[in-house]
Amino acid sequence: MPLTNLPRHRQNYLHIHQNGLALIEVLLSLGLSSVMFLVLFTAQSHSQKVLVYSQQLHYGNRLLDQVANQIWAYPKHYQSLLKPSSQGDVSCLDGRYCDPIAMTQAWAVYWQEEVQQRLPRGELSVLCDSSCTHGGTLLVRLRWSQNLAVATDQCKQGVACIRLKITL
Amino acid sequence: MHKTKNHSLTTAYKQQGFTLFEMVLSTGLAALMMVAIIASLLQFNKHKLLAQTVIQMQSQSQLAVFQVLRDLRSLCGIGVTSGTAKAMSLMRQYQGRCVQYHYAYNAAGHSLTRRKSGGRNSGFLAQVESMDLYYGVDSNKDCHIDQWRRSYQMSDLVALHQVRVSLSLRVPASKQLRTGIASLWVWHQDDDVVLDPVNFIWRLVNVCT
Repeated sequence: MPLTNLPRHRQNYLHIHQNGLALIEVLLSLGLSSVMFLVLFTAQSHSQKVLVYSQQLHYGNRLLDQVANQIWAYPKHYQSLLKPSSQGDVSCLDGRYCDPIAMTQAWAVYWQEEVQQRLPRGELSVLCDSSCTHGGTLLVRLRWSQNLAVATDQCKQGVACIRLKITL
Repeated sequence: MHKTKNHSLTTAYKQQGFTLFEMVLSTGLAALMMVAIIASLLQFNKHKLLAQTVIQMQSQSQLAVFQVLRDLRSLCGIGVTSGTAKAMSLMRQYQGRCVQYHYAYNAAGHSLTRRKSGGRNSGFLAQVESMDLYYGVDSNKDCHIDQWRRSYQMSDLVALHQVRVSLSLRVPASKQLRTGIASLWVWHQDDDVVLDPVNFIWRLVNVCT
């Protein structure tokens, strides 16, 4: 229906409402868009942290595999792995002749260094549940600081843990 | 069409266009929105590249470990005959026969090669930047490794227990990842590849068991 057919007050009303967007509307839409972008950025940032976490888990699993292999290589010297001595000589792993105790200590030091380099506040521990003898259980535990890690019965919030149980 | 004077004025007023303030404001808002959209797209693209690289890195390393260990599992006869830091010779099963194989690192081709005795080299593992082998030997027959050496020659004096394999894999990655979170990675000096260290131990199961 043409506007001219409408009464004057209706014509004025329609003209007034064809002005475009009010400042409050523009600001509101801008605010909503900002929130949207903020959510998007947060989601992507979180997703990147998850990728880093997954890479850390991948590395941790590979490390535990190596630890397990070495534990089997020195079946009578688990005790040396339990208390990594700072005196361990890493040159045992690079050509030097070493007895089994020195060798296990060298591995313990080597792994601790590896873990500290690759994982934030990384810590590798080897524990025996009762005795480190045949039939006992050896627990290899790797822990590091990770904000995304949820609390479990073994680890608190913000600490990632992976464990490997080996029956001796 | 007849129009009253007042109505004509009203129409003329409504058609005068934007004020300077409206123009500046709308341009500013549009610029803000464009910056946000472009930043979001760039971030999204970077995240996609990062995810691709991480996934490729993990799958490539798992595949490399699996492929090497699977090949070495079918050891037979006298087992490993000799080895250096970059190559190894061993006896393994091939169609029911015990055949000698040579494994070596090919620096030019960035790969590991495998050669059957009397045959030709074939690519065994691609995208390898470097390889280091250590041989864990027992020289006093107490069933414990007492030396990790860079070369090995089969003899009655020593028994080989384990081989420590250190590979550095080349994972193709975009230049865009050189900054930010991925700067923690080790990049190749010349190529657009990330170097992923993969260390694992091959345990010879038939020794001291």
